[in-house]
Amino acid sequence: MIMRYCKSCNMKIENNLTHCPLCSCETTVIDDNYNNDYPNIKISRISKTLRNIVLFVSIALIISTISLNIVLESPTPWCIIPCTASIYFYFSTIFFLKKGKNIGLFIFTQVLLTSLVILVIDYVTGFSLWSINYIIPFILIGGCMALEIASFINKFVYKDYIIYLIVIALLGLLPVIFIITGIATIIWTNAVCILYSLLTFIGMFVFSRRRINAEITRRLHF
Amino acid sequence: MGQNQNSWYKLDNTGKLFPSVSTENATNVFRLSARLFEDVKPSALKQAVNQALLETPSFQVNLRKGLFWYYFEHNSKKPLIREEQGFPCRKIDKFTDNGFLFDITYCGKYIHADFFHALCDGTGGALFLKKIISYYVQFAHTDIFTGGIIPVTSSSKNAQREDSFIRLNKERENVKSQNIVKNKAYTISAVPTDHGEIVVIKGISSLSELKAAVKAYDCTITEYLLSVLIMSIYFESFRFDNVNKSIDICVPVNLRQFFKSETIRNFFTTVPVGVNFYKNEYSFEEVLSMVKSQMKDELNIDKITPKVKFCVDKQDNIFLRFVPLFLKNLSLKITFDVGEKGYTTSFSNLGAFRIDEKIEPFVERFEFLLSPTTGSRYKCSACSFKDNFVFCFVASAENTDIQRRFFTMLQNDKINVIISTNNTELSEEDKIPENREEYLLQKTIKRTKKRQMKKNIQQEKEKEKIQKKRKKQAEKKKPVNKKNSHKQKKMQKYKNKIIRKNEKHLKHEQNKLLKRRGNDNEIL
Repeated sequence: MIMRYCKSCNMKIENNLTHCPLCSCETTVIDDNYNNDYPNIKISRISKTLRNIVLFVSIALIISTISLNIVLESPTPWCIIPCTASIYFYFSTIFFLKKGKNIGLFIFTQVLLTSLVILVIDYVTGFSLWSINYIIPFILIGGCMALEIASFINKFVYKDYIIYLIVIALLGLLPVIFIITGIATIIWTNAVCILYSLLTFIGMFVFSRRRINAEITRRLHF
Repeated sequence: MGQNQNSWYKLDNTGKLFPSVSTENATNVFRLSARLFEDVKPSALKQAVNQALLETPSFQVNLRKGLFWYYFEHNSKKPLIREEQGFPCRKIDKFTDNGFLFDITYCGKYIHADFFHALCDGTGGALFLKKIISYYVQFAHTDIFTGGIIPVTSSSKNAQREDSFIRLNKERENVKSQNIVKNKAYTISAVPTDHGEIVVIKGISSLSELKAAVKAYDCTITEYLLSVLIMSIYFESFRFDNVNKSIDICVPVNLRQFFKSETIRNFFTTVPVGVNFYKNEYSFEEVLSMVKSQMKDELNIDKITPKVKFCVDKQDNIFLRFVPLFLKNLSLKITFDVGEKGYTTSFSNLGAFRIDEKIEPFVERFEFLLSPTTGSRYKCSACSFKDNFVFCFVASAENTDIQRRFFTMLQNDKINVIISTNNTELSEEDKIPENREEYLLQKTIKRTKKRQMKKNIQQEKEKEKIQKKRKKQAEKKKPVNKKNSHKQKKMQKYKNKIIRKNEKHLKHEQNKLLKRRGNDNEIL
């Protein structure tokens, strides 16, 4: 079974190599039977160019808008809006480039990021509370609904979504605080959001009590 | 762990460490491979893996993150069985093998099984591989094994998935836990490989020759190999640095020999063996005697239990238990990196593999590989099967001086070694270009290949066209029987109808089959 022999190491080599793997000297052939048990490996670097381009563009945007804001001496810090937008853009594209994406995680991060961007825009443009009054409750409802639809379509992945559904439904109860503290000036939108997340909870417990119990005990075991 | 989708269990005491500390460069994946006498048949291998997995349900899991700890959850998918591509011991994450924590590949005569250390240790993995091999041989040679499948005996499923560390801790309550802080050990100076390639150099020798050599020194095989390893590190690396650090080798010890357990999960601890050459020059015999006395000292249940107890106590600590997982990951990574600096390299001897007598003639040898880390770029492992003893060096560094010295030292003791490596000489096209000329050369080669491919495809298309034309012409030339009566025409129509119906039915059946096969291929 031996193919080659290295004179300088005085050792037999099983593979079909012209140079000794130990000393890099040339080998001589003894026998024509040889083992080629290993695949020829093409070394390919994982391409991160697109990711790096996105990172570079978002950093460039952030820096240029901040400097423009300073140079123009505008009274409002409007540069925060494009900055948060580019952060949002960066994280979303990174998620899209990731392999084996989890839709539950995607919806969860989208809910968080879009609410953040909208809050920032509202804050910069005078904080007239339109974000908390109208948009954030509906984003939370939309996130909940999207996850529910996704788990209806593919029942096998419900297991992977449960935790995100629970967390988004919990976030959907946040408007309670908005109403109590008086931040929210328009109540019906927030009330709809609270109602919707409460119904989601009830629905989850009615239809899949065992699964949710199991999921919570698993995730929170210590 | 049954087939219930909601079933789950905790990681064992040592296993808890590995998901937190594993990275692309320190994968904590070990490989067990079996080399058969013939080429591997993938369909039989797939059947064998599924059968073996049914009997070891504690391997049918994927790793999940909780708020405080990782945990194993039932995996309802089937493992992928693929031809090997790439290096051994690559990182196993949730995308590699349908979420499974092992990866079974084949290449020529080899069946490789990579295991993530969180799942099991070498002994557990070996049990699983032996099961796969014995089923594989039976499924691939149904003409020889006519009397049905011989079941592979194994312990009960509860015994297999036991966390023996906890039982050890409970049974030895009186022993005080003790943490041993080690000094920094010598690190081998080496040039790391360019793209994280792993260089495997194996030495295959005869077990009887090795035993004869060891007998002359009056020691065990592990002690002998350890001292040869220490000497070769001294000669090829330490001599040139000469720092006041000892060459410490981490030797994993199977706790099943001290403490009865049938678990296939982690149940091992490590023991340090080291010699400090600073301002000393020891001969081989002196090093051997030092290693012997150290091994005797360390391989003592009274010395091992305090160390194990320390780890279990840490895990049971109520304050540490409630630390969120990401903080645990961070602190574990730091402590692991610090702990790794206490060792120069590690050497794991898995011992002799034994399988059923009827299966034995089909297997040539078993091999065992560890994965290198950034802290210690060289790792050594060994195992034996029948008369084949295989010693493996795994390195993420380009230097091969230590390997060369090691194997020549073995050969000086009249142990014949055959070298085998995973280093293949790449063709011009596959190399990564290092200068502009090489790059241009590669480009031209690729271009000409592409052009040839295009030409071939075009030629084939043209050939097909010509054939079609000929067929049409031949059909046209056929003499048409004008004397066909009305009745005959009707009969022909009726016949055609039946033929069409049959064809439709056949097509439907074929489609069904194809769909099934397609699914199988996906799993394959």
